[in-house]
Amino acid sequence: MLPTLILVVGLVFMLIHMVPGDPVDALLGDRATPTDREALRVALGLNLPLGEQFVNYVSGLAVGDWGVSLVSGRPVLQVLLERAPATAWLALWAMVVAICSGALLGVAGIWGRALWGKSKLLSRLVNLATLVVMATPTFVLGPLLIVVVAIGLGWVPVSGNEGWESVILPALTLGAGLGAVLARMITASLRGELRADYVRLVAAKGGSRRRRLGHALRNALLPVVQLFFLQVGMVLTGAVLTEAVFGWPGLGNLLVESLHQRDYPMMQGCLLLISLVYMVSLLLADMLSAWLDPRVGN
Amino acid sequence: MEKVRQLVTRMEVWGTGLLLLVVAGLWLAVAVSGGDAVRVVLPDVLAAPSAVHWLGADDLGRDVLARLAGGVRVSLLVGLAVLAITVAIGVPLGLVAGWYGGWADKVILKVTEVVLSFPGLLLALALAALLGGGMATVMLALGVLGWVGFCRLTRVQVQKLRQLAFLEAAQLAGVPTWKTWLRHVLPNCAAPLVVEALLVVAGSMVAEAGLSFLGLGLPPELPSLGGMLRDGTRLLLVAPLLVVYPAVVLIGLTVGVNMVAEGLRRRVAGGNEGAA
Repeated sequence: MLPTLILVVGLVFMLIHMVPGDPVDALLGDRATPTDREALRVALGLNLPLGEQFVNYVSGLAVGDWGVSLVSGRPVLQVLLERAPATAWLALWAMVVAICSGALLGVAGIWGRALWGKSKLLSRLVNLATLVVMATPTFVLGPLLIVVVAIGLGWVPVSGNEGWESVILPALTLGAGLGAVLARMITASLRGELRADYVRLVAAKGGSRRRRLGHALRNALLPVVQLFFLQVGMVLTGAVLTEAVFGWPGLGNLLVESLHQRDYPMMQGCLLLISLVYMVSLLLADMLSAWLDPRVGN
Repeated sequence: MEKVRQLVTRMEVWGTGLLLLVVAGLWLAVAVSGGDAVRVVLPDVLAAPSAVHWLGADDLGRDVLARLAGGVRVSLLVGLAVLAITVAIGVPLGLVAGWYGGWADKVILKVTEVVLSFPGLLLALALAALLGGGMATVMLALGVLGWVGFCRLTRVQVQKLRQLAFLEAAQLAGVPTWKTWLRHVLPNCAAPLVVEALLVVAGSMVAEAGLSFLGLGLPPELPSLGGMLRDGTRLLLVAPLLVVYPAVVLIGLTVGVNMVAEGLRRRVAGGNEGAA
């Protein structure tokens, strides 16, 4: 965890130095006077040796000084904290969508045979549907949903964040992919558990199909929970694109704006914050699976 | 007859068919209609589908059909280039790690863990944006960050193979290590790598489209599916079809590749799950 953290901070710090040529030139353009250039260089701390710059950057991060936006002149951390709740709200609803749809479809993938005897129609349909949804990126699903639901049917607003109903389409867009992944995992995991000896024992004792499923489900959920947390990163990356589609005022849009405006401190702040959340969720996934299944622990 | 039945219930067959339909269909349609993906024709702005523009024209009067075909070409190009880069980095590293073990294995494994604990697409996004757009940058950014899968997969496969007697026999017979790798090790771990390769291609196509959608990927005059989606979302209320076309084509491509991958994955796994 700690080496990764240092590496991530280092990478984010180095990004500004990876720009071909001089970042100051890129910011000011050709017509800037040498005095202006020098002033900006000093303001950004780019005149110092690289090592010193890095130490300054890290010590600044530690005390909550994440730099100042080159465009609005506001402290980066303040803007980040302003924008973060919108992203968290979107991610929360996306996860609700993912869990509900995933659980429903995942069990349906198994239950198909119970409903229609030997026919595999339902599980095949679920399989195909989840495959298509998984292969559909958020920036494709989003505009399609807007066309059908917002414009065609006129049920919800096209974009922005006004009122509770504006979260519906972004959450569906962002949650669908994760839902499909979860559904497939639940189906595969359940299929494995249903063949286990303890399920056979339940069957031998005369337990109904439903009863067997109940027993198997509890064990089958373990890898699913693990996968869920591992996929939080996918949700975050997807959130950047989803926010761009719907003009959602969160961190993702902030990142894209700052990349377009070459607002380096803001861009670094966004990347750093998102990476931190990503890393914490991976850590949580590890800890959770160790707690749920004693066999996993070290 | 049984063979035919098996063939039509196989996912990889349907996937290949879908890919052929999208790629060959668009290519043929453009060859017949003769549309131009780049030329701006102002009288044709947002033209409805006609004999000249089979799918209409976009907000700059460019032929939508030709831009779709161009976008597919770009997608496949990026997908294959990223595949080449990731294979070139990932497979040798995985081979070395799995074959020699020891500290080389530890170092390489640690590096892959670090890369995995980072939101890769976001880093690619920042890299592509900062280094200045263009197809080469996009390919490089995605390739440099995407090799981990190949590395880990190759490593595990090689570790499994390493214990088998025929490799020991080859070594005892004095076959040079590089020859053993090329002749015995790599062909034997090829099957799961092919599945991974397909997933990398699909992932890169989506990533490129995502970057272009954000305006951080390919330059706007180059036709790309992501760029078309971006232009289309701005005209949603005027011409919703401009979004639908590239969306359908991109879904066709990624679903096709994913279906082939899924079909092959089942065969590699032993195929006891039966057809889809």
